[in-house]
Amino acid sequence: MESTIDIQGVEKIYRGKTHALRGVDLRIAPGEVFGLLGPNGAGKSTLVKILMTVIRPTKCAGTMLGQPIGSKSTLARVGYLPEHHKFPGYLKGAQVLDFFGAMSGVPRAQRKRKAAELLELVDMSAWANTRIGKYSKGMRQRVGLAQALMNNPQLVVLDEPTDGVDPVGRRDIRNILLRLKDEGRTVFLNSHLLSELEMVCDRVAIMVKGKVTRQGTIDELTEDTRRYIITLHQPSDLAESGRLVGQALSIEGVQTEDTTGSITIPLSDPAKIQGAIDRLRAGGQTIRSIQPSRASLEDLFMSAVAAEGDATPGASKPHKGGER
Amino acid sequence: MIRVFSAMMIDSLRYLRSRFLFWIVLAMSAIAAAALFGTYSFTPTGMKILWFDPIENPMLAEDGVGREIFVSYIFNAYFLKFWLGWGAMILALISTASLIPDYISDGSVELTLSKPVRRPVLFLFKFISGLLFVLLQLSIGVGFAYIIIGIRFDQWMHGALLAIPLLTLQFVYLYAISALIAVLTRSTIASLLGTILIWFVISMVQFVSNTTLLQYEMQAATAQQNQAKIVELEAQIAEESRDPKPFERANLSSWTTTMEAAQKSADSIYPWVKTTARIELFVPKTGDLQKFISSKTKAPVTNEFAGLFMDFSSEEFRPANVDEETMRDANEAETIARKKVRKVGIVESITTSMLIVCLLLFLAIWRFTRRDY
Ligand SMILES: Nc1ncnc2c1ncn2[C@@H]1O[C@H](COP(=O)(O)OP(=O)(O)O)[C@@H](O)[C@H]1O
Ligand SMILES: [Mg+2]
Repeated sequence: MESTIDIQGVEKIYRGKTHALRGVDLRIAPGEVFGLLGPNGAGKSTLVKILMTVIRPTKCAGTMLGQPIGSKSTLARVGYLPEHHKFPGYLKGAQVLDFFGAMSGVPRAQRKRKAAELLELVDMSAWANTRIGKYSKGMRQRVGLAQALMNNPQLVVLDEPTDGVDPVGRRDIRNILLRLKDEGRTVFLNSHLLSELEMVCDRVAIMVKGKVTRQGTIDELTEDTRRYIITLHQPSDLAESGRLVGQALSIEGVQTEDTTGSITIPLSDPAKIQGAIDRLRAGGQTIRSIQPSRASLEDLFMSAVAAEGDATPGASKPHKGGER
Repeated sequence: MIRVFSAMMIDSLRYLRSRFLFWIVLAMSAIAAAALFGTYSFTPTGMKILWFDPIENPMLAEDGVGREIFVSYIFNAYFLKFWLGWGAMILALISTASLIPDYISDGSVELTLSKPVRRPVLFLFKFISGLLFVLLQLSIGVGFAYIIIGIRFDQWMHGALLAIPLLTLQFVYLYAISALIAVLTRSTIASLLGTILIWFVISMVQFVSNTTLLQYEMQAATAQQNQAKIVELEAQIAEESRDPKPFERANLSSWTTTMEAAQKSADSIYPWVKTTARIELFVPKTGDLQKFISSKTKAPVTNEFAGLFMDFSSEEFRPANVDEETMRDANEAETIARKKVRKVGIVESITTSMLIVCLLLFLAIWRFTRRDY
């Protein structure tokens, strides 16, 4: 099936010479929830703004919903929640939805019904006739999300949707995302918070300093970080035990952790681990537990950031408005 | 497109409605109209202001010839020029100065740029929506004055209604400047101050050009006046086929001197008239619109109005060494000149002004469409 978003070699150099994107390739399949993960200043918002025609790419090849990036008419089928958005304070919640719905080309008759339905969805019906100026950050975020759904979009692009939202709100938003997925929409989500993505995303990409360093399902990404952790009961000479295990399995990279008394073995095959158990038991150690484990998204993220190091100073200098 | 247009207009109305200044200006228009047209009345023998003793003046009496002139002058000089043309216009600029900077501020502009509407269209609609403020203010203010004048004095100045589109057009001239500065700087203060500064410069240019033209026309009118007198007297003498009498000879020679002096003076001013007119070609001519309304409402020029209350040629006003006729002639020449100055080629004036407006808008749109937000 044709990808919802398929872009290659996207580059953006801002005036002022910030090289914000350095050749980004992404492919997002229809119906998936895709998470773009990266530290502040990585270029996530820049990429999203290019897709939404808010800024012009320096270089960009690819399509969104089958149309070239930059085509205005495609946007009628896309919903977008910008980062740090500011709705006019003089509008009421329902008016915001009506206005942005109209801007997306939704006929008047549908707008009223849809607005009521969406306010219900984001649990803001009680606030429909209150001015946005009186809303809290979390409420604005909810209304913003509703606004992005007014045109019944095939693709929903959300830039830091849980920014400033309390834990209950975060859970609500996650549920809404899952519901959107059930309805067959594609969601492109953008965040610097890891836990959110892990819970809802089918696939993620990690972006650091303007480049996507890894891309795939969370399983795929963490595949080669599978390992076993053997914890010993009152170990005697843990370091030596670790060395012996490495020798027995003839592998490198066995690590020991004194505080917990554990030995980490970078292998995913349970059959091979038996040798380690034998060796430890032969050495008179008592095994308390054996756990299969893999790196969390967070570990992966940290290592991706660390790998990029400080090789490209300037790319992450904060810009006006700043990141929160 | 219509859907987007109406959504943006409604949004703008909500914006205006939420602004305190909008209501202030509206109230002030009503107060100005009530004060200027509701505080006096015409009696069989003159005019009565509030509770003060009536002013005896047959010209301003109920059926006096000056009554309509009086009202139309007050309307033009005070209500239109002073209040709507300056006061309300500045307040309108203040009220709408933030419209575009707010719209293109971070966090706000992304919301509409990401909609399936082209940027030039977004910008133009936003610009037009900024005109709603004055359009509403003028419709209500002028409409109110028109009705008060009609009802109280039974004087229906249909020409006054022209002020609604024409002063809106004046605002278009100014708002185009504001919009361009707004797009370039994204700052409300900069666009407001910049616009007022440029408006001041424009007004100066027009003032200089106007004054020069008035001087020229006054000299030309004087020359013409004297020539007419010479021609008339000579014709009379020729008809009676006689020699001019000594006092006629003296008159003829004095008129000729005056005529030649005035003509010479007019000729020397003429190049300046040309130059200032040429400079004026490159500014939006805000003043022309008001001149046009004045002539359409048959407003008197300043000295015609003053003439309602005083006789310039009477001894009271005339310096000792000037005779009555000279004084009357001078006054007449000025009236003719002022009326001439007020006659503007409105089509040409609007066309050249709009060309400048289009250029400003084009630059603004160009910047807006190319900018990264
Ligand atoms: N309008 C802009 N002008 C100049 N530089 C910008 C602009 N917007 C973002 N940047 C820079 O581009 C880089 C990427 O920013 P951004 O895309 O906002 O990152 P993220 O969303 O991942 O936090 C940062 O270094 C930022 O300073
Ligand atoms: Mg961002």
